Amino acid sequence: MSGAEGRIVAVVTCSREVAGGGVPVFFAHTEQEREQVARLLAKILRGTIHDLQNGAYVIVRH
Amino acid sequence: MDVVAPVAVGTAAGTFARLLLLRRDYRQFPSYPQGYTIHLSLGFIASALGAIAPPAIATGDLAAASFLALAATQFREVRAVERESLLNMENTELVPRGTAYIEGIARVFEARNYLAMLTALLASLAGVLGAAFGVGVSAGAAAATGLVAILLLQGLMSGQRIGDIARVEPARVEFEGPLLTVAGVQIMNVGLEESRRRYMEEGLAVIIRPKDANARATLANLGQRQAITHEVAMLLGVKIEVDEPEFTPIARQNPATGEVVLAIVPLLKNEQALVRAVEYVPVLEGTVRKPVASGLWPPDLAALKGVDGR
Repeated sequence: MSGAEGRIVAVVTCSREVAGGGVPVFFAHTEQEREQVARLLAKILRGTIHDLQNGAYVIVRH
Repeated sequence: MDVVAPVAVGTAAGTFARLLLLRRDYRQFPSYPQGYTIHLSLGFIASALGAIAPPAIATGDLAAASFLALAATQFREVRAVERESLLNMENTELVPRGTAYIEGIARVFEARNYLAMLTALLASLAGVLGAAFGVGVSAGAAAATGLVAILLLQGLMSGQRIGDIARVEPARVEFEGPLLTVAGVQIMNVGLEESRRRYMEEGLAVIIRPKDANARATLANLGQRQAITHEVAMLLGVKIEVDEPEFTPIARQNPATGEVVLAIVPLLKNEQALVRAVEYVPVLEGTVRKPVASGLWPPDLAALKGVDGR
């Protein structure tokens, strides 16, 4: 898709410091759990998982 | 004057022209049998209208000839109908056609009706001219003209393909961190390790190098690129389900060089097949750009010399 617009539908992170700002934030305790939660959420929301490389996955609906 | 022969042969020639232009290939569009019926019927009507015009004028019935104008309005509807039905199905495509491709298809369908009409008109005209020498000559002249018209139109109406305006070469799927990258062009951020592995193990990539600045401008069009991804996904298949959008193939252009890259996880993993599939994608009429024709571009830039070490 050439779509220019994307919407962040969820954030999955291990960091407790992340403050939610209008987007649901899901906390995970381990790296494996983070991957697993992100995968399941992406399937549910039909979103794409993007890695921000700061310990957070964002799930985006394109 | 006997007008039956010109009209009959003209109508037949026009319908035959429409039938020849209705090629059913891998695209399965138009669909069979319903799509075929629709377009053949419309082609027949167009041909009949075209074939009636010359005898009508020859016998002094100018009102009948003005029906051609009415027909043009009718066939504009054809375009709208095609566009609408394709747009309605767009949501059901895993890799959408894109609006530019749909517009191109719709335009082709309208144009083909006019071609059928033109063929019928020319054939009928020849028939009317030959009518003075008897029915046999009239029918013969109409048939011969119809055949020539069909052959000419067939040749004239075949458009360009990506292989004509660009060189297509296999490339490698790579990752820079989470970024899916082909030939240095970042395509998208693939978050999951698992998905990245699938791209690395099963993915294929191509690089499309435009031959000149015109081709580069054409390939810059998002609709043209969407058409490429759609055709490739259809020809090679694509390993994707609705809940894994990260496998939607995307074509991205390198703004510095104009090269377009595409990565896909196909069902048929064959590099040569991928290259041929891309080369076979039609260049959409609506996306063709010819900036060089303006004369503003120096010849070396127009030929993309000096761009990316060429």
